[in-house]
Amino acid sequence: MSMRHQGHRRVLVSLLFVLLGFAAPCPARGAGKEMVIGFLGDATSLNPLVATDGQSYIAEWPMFDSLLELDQNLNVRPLLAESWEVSRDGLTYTFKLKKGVRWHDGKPFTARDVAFTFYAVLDPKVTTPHRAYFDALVGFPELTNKDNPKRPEDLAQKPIEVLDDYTVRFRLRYPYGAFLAVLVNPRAGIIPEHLLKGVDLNTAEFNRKPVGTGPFRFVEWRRGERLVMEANAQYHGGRPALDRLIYRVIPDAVVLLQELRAGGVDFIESPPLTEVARLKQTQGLQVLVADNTSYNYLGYRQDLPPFDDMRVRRAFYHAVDAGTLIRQVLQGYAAPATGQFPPSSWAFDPSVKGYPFDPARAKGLLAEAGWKPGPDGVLVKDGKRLSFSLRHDQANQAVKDTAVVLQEYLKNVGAETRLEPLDWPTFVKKLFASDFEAICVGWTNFHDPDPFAYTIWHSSQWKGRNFAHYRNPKVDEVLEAARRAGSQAERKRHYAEFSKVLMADAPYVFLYFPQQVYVTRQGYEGFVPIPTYGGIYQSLKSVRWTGR
Amino acid sequence: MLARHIVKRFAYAGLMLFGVSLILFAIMRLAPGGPEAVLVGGELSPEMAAQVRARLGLDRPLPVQYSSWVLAAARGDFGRSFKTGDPVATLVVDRLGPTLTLTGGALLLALLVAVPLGVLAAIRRNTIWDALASSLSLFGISFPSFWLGIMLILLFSEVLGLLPPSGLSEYGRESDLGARLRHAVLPVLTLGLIQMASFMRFTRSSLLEVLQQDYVRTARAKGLPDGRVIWRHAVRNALIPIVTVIGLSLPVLVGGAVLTETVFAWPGIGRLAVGAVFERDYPVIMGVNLMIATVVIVANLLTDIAYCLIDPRIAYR
Amino acid sequence: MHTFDRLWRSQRGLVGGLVVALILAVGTLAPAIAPYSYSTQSLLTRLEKPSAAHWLGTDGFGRDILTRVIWGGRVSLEIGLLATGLSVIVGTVLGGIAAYFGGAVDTAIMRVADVFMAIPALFLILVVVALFGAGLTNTAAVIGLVTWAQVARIVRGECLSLRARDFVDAARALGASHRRILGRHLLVNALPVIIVQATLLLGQTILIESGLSYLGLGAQPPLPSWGNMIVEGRQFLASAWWVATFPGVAIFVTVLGFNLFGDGLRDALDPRLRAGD
Repeated sequence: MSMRHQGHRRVLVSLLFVLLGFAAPCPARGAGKEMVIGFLGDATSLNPLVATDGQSYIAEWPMFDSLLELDQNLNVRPLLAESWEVSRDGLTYTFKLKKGVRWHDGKPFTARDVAFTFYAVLDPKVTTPHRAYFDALVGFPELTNKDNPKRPEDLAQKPIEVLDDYTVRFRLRYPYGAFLAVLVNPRAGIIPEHLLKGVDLNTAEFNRKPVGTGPFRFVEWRRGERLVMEANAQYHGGRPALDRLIYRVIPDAVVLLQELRAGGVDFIESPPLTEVARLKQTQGLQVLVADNTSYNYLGYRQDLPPFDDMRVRRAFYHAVDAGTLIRQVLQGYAAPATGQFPPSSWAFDPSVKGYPFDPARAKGLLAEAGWKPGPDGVLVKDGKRLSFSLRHDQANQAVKDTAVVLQEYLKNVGAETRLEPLDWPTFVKKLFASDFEAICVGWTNFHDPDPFAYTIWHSSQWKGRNFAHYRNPKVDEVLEAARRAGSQAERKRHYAEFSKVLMADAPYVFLYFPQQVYVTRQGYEGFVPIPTYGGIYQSLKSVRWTGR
Repeated sequence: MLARHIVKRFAYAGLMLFGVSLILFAIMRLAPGGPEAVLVGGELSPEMAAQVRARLGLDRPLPVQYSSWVLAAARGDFGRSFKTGDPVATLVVDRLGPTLTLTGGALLLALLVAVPLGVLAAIRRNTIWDALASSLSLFGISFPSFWLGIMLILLFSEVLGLLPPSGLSEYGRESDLGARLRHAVLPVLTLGLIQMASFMRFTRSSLLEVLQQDYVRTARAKGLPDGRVIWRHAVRNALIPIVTVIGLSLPVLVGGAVLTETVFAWPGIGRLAVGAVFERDYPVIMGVNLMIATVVIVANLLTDIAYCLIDPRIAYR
Repeated sequence: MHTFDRLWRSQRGLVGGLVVALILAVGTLAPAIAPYSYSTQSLLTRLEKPSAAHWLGTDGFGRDILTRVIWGGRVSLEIGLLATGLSVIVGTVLGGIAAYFGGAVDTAIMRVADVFMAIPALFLILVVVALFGAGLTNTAAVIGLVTWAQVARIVRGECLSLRARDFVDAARALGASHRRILGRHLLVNALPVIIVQATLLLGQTILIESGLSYLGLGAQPPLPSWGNMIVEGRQFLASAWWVATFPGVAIFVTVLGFNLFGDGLRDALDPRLRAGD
């Protein structure tokens, strides 16, 4: 047979095998010993250091440990660090690490991995969103300088020192009370030095095939489709009860729910809230709810009329009935917001109250501020109508619905709001350029008041997250003091004062802290809904299938 | 003469591709915001944004960005998605299967039903067949595709429970041909019914027009048997508009049908392209749209050549 | 059999015309005839089945669906008329010029039209909307941008066949200016085709607009749009099917009406054209 014919035959035979493979049935799923998690969007990277989006955090969390983890009260407790000591001046933290921990490839975990991880965070060549959290470390400005970064060896005092295989010491340049809080996952997962030393972390193959010390180890990642992990039998905290963890990407909330009902997935996040009541009553399903730290608000440019008048801002606060809004838009799955801190945070001050729903008072305040009813019902002052644009993300259904409700409330007190939904990149650009009048947005927050309290409200951050251009010297003072304070009690005092002053200014109408709602199959138990972003995923290592 | 005409068309096609890519690039960069908004979650800040943009090469001057893209594209390298890091070509190829299943299936369905019915309607003009075909096709082109899809889901999935409501296949049984077929029924039906309706109208009207033309009347007057007249002259010349129609639907064939894909959560190219716009995933946008434009231009080219073959007179028009 | 067809054909245009007239009336009189406000929400009456108080039921915010369908029609008509008008004007002018002057002008214009048809419409729309924001006028403008090319093609084709006729040469011999010939003779004679196209285009633009609304563009809250009503209704399909169904029926009936009307017009005008041959 000629060469060409042989080639053809080979192709045909392979084709036959492909077709046969096509027709062969897949092995059935291991019933109950694995859990399929439905994912609204795929992760972009499985390396905790360079991952920048929420989906990636949730995806890599089961595979990586951090030094500490959170408990249900958002306090830290040991994970890879067995114990620690803080010096009297609050500038030195010494951690004793767990012994006998191994990476998924069998190599031992040591303090050198910890040092490597955090020096990488400080390295300006690495694109990582976590750098800012470590501002308190000694040598931070020198090490993170973009144009002329120093190397750790060149510093007189090193921020991170390896004392021995299981002891690591951090040095701070000011007493930063939140330091322990930033050492938790998903932002502080430890990565292996022996695999990543000298490698460009931004583009490493490791980001697609990670090796961690976590309760689950990586098996495969089919982009846009699924991520498969299996239990780490050598996990230092004990082998997880589940055999396999599979994240399945289904970018449509309605379809996600259908898949749950049909048995294609076992766990979903964010079901349509209007369906939750029915889901609660569905046989074989259970609903889990967790608080969260991010809040939605109605915000405005503080330096733009009409919002530069405090009476107008307070009037708008009185005009909105947040309680009804929560019931209407979120079916009650949210906690009312009275400021920067969620009720579950230690910094939350219950004595600070929002302005009660009182449209009459709102109208009174507006009249006081010089706004008189115009011919079409909209208030007028000096020839200008009380009319402004409200920008928001067009893809977020809850925000859209909230904006529509806000529009009604504001109309009732004589303000005309023009809704302008924008696609997310456009919206973000306008936010950071401070190109807006009013906005309705929800942003992530952190389980510790710092850094967001500072970056959102300090007047030095106008080019950053303080795009609303808020300025109050008293607030600046208090926030700086809180940052420098060493003890939680001291910080709590400062933040309490901060919350009071903030509410007096009424810069935003704080609306709600939306809860995270999950639905899973009855029979899975052991979830712990930690009240921070994706907190429930921390407990995957303790989830088990009881088969009932 | 003919050859020169074809060569001219090839050259023109190449120029068009270049022009389209330039316009795509310009329009895309005019849109405010960039991929950093989507790639970074809650920690977004101007510094973080600058970092990400620098890493993606977006801080270079625009002409540099465009020319480096064009040079790479000419070699067949369309870059990597900002979001997933996968090569654009891979992303497209992965979705080609589902896209072709959907659009190809719909096209096939439409052609198989519409052409015979359209011909029947034209020939048996002024009969009940004609009326039936005309009404059905008129109805068909009046449906919004996404609503038709939703109604079909309501009927066949919610109410009757016969077919699955969405997705490519059942999880864990991706290679199961039966499952894939069952999942494909509703999407293909949705897209196919509407295409069927418009093809039917087109076939009927173009055939009618041809049947009334002089040379057909002459042939009939000359006493040629009806069947022969119809087949040899009318249908062959009616092929021209049909070829046009197929040519016009090729972009949809490759570009996917975004609305149908959205309703059925179908992992096709259309959703890839639309998602990329909302995420400012420039390499994907450029790559996918250029691919679609290529198909359009090649389709035009092929239909042109087909015309010339069917009716040489056209080349000189 | 002949009579059957004639009856069907004349009925078609009539029925279409009636539907069109009805839709136009409803759209214009929306503020007067709508039973409720399209934006007032009511927690207590969410997702109610169609009843005597709410003929088409209520949506997720407790708003009356009948009212929103009526107002949605008004919005769709506004956008549709604006977009079609834009498209027809630009397409007719360019198509006529291309046909009349021929040669390089013709090639240039048709190439531009080709490019517009080569760039995927949805992509163009998405980007323009991202640039300039969604909203009635922008949506209409961008739909016009995407559809003018096909109008230009058709007008050009019609004018080409007209151009070859005697009366054009006669007019030229008499010394009439280009503009006069183009405007008075060519385009006026092409008018029937243009009108038919415009009618069919109106149906098409309403479909496009509803598709855009489905994707989140188009008319913005609280203005209802049939498309965004269907989007909202999709999540309630299992529990409240009416939210997604009725707006779709409205779209279907409206577009069907325009198509019937356009077809009827074409049949009415066509024989007369041929008679003048």
